[in-house]
Amino acid sequence: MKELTIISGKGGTGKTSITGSFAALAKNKVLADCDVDAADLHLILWPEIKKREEFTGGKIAYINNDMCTSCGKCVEVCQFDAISEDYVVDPVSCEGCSVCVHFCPVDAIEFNPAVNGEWYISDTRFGPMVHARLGIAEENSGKLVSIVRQQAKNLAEQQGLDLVIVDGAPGVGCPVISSLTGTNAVLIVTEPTLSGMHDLKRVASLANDHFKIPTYVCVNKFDLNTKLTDQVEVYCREHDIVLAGKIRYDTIFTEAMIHEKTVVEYSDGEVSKEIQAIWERLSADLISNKNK
Amino acid sequence: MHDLKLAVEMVRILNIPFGVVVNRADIGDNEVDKYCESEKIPLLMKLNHDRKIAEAYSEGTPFTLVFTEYREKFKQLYQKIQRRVEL
Repeated sequence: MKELTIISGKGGTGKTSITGSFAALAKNKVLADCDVDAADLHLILWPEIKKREEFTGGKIAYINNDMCTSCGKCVEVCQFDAISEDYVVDPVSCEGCSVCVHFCPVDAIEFNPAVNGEWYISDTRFGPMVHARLGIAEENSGKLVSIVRQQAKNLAEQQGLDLVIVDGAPGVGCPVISSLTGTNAVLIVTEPTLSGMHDLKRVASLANDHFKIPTYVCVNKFDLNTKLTDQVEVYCREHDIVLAGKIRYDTIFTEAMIHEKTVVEYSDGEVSKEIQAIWERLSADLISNKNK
Repeated sequence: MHDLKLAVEMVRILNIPFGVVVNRADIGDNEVDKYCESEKIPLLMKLNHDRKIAEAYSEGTPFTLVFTEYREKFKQLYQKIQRRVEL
C-alpha cells in the first residue's frame, strides 16, 4: 500500500481542488483530509459519515468552586491570563500547562482531557474517506493529523486498497510535518507568484532535503507569470524534484468549488486534461514501485 | 462560505470587531450576502474577478499601485475599518 501526500506551503494554490480531482481519477484508494484546521475536501466529496469519534488532544484546567478558597495563587502563576477574578478558566486562553494545578494549595483544580474536535470515517462517491473537524480556536492539530492518517491506512489495509491520498495541511509547521512523515511520495502544488515560490522552497526543503521523500511539483495557474514558472522549473531541476506538470489559470477551479464538484467532473476542458496527465504520471511512478 | 463561518465563529469567541470583504464576488452566488445580512455582519467591500490583480500579485506588486481605479475603493474600505475600530 502506498501513500501520496499533497501539500502546498502557500494557501490558495488549488491543493484541495487537485486532491479532489485525484479522488475522482484514482481507483482502489482511501482519501484522508489532513487539512484539519479548515478542512474543505468534504465540500466537494460530500462524505456520508459512518463512524464518529471524539478527539482529545490536550488537557485543560477546571477549578472546583466548592474547594476553592479564592487565595489567588492560580491567577498569579498563570502565564496566559486564563483565570478570571471569580476563578473560572477561560478554555480559549488556557494552554493546558497545568502550572495552576501544581501550585493550588488545596488541590481544587482538576486537569481533564479536553475534547478538541472529532474525526470521522465516511463513504463518498469515490470510496472511503477519513476526515476530521478541529474545534474553533483549538490546537493540537498535528496529533489529529496523525490519527486521520493512521485510520486511513488501517482502512486501506482492511479493505485491501492500494493507495491512500492525503490532502495535507498548509504552511510548514507541525501539522505539515505530521502529514509528511513516512509518506511514500509528496506532491507540492504551487503557483508562479513570489509568495508561491518562497513557500515552495521552504516546503520542498522540508520534504525533499530533510525527510528525503520523493518530491513532485505541479505549477497551477502557470500562465499567470511564465517568468516565475520558468524559475520553478529551474529550481526543480537543480533540486532533483520532478516537475509533474503545469495547469493553466482558469476560473473553472472556483466554479467547480461553488458547484461542490471536483474539477474533472465539472469540466472536460484543457484544465481537466492537464490534471489527468499529472495524475497518470504520479500513479505510474507509485505503481512501478519507484517510491519505496 | 464554509471557511468564512469558521472564521466568524473564531473572531466572535475572541471578541474582536470584524467585517467581511468578498473577493471574486461575480463568480459565486449571493450566499455570502445573505449570510452577512442574517448575521448582521458588515459587508465592507466586494471585488470582482480580475486576472490582472492576480498577475500584479505574482510579481509582488500591490495592485492598487498600478491600477488606479481600485484606489478609491480601498480608501473607502480603510475609512470604514477605521470607523469600526474607533467605535
